[in-house]
Amino acid sequence: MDDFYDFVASILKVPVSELSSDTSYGSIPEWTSIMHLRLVMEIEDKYGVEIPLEQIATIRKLYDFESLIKGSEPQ
Amino acid sequence: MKVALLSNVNVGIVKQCLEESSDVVYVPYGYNTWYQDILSDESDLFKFYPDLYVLLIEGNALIENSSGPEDRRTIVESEIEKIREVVQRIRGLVLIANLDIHSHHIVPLSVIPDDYALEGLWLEGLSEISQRYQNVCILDIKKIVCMMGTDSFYDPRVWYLGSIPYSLRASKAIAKEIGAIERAYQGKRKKCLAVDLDNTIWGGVIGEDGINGIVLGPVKEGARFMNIQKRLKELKNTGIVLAVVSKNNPEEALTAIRNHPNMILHEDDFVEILANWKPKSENIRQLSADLNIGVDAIVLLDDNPVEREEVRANLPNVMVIEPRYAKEIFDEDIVNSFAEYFPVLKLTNEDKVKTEQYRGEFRRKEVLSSSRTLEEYLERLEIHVQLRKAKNQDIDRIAQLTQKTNQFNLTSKRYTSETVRDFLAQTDMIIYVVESSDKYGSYGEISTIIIRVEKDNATVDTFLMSCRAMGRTIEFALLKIVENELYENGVRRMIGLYKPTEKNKPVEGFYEKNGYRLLYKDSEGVYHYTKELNSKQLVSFNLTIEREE
Repeated sequence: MDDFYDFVASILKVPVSELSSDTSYGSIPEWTSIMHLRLVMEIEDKYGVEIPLEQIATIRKLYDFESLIKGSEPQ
Repeated sequence: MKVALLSNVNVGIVKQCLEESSDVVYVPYGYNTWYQDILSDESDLFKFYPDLYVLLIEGNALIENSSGPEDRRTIVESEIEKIREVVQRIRGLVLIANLDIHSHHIVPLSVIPDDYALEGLWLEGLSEISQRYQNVCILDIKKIVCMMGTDSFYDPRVWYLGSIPYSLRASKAIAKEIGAIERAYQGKRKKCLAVDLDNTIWGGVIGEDGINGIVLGPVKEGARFMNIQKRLKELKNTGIVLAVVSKNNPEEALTAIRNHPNMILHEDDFVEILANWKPKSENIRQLSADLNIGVDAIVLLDDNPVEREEVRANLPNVMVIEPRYAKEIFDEDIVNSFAEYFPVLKLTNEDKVKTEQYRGEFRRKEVLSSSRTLEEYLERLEIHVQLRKAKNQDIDRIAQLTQKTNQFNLTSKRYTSETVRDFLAQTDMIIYVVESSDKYGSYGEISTIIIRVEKDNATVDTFLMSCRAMGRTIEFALLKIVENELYENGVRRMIGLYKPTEKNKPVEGFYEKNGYRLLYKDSEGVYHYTKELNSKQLVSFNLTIEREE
């Protein structure tokens, strides 16, 4: 998961130092509604997870993505 | 490039992907406004002044609310009609996507869906438009769908969430395809493909298996190599020069190339055959020197991962084709390399005789090495130069020259065909082209000189000459002829510009050598020179120069 923030920063095109688990949809100008959908698809591809339709709309923070990725990792 | 991305669906992610390859992309606010936007002189689209228009109409969204088969035909036909109408108003390049329609209606199995018929209807209209208008090309979305498969191409979740029909992979692939066409439009292509022999253009090793043992024929494994050769020949026909770079004894390699009955490529399809035991990187360097092109204009095709690695390590600027299967080449690898390294939209006459031109260059080099003086050399070559004003049919070649000429290019300004067309229409611009030939053949159009005249001042906006004509002192004569011509039309002061780049060292000092005086260097690093014209000058070169109106 260490590279999660680097990965997200490369998609959003912001310095990784500006991101934290609290960074949320709309809290930075780069995270627009279209970027939200892109992030969902990029994270799905990279981490091999499938984010259910109803969660795509409710995800707000990077923390939410992180838990989704962790939830799918084998224990 | 400035790209307008016009669609009936949300193409925001394609836009992002295009921006990552340094395009400036404009997508109108709201979907499906392209028709009004193109027709209006007040629209933001019009003010954006795009170099490239991409009309990415999504077929399934187009017919989403149709009432039946008749209605669907009408929708497709009227959409094509709208495209036909707007295309007339567009000056830049227009890419129009073909349709991929996969209606998922539930109908009895015996009913043949009209999906393919609608795609065909669209394609017919599109072909007709692209034949009528030179600046229209097809963006082959269907090809991407076929390669990826419908399930990977579409993502129904983002469709219902955000009107985006495409998956992330599809958006990226569409952007990549647009990028390839842009490169083709800008003339950014490699010049030479260096090919290996053993297990690349035939099966087996000629040094061990002999001419009767190598695999090359119409069936099975032999057909794989025949198809590779067919694709290489097609690539050559688009103006790419082929050369052999192979670890073999030269006699054995040549015997097979000359005498094997199933060879599709012949000796004269290759500009040079380097068969020896030197490292491949060394041979590629040799090739670059012989052809007078940069190593970064050369691409390697080799079945052997070790050889590919050797070239990558020693010549990182040479592009190496990575085949789909690590140790075997298939003809599809060459097809893919065309889009990646060698894309071209239209062929110029120059492209068709590339190999012959480079080969003539070798013979000239031989004359050079056996001549005692430059004068003797020029005399023996019987050089003939013709300077004339550019005409409409020269536009594509002039644009190509500005895009591709790096060494003898004083300002390195890159122009598209559309810009050159605009220049030709302007009364204060004069464009000259120079054709040249010698006893070994035509060099074709080798040089262009673009002049901007303001009262009695003339600025040399562009002066370039393709590499293969350099070093024959044609350039000095040309500048004098142009100056004389301008003098006769009232010009009294020339302004010469020189912008140093990494590659144009050979023309450093060009203006000094021609009697120009340095004025200043501007903030963008461009040196401004000037020369007063007081009378016509004598052109005392051992060349025939003709003028033609």
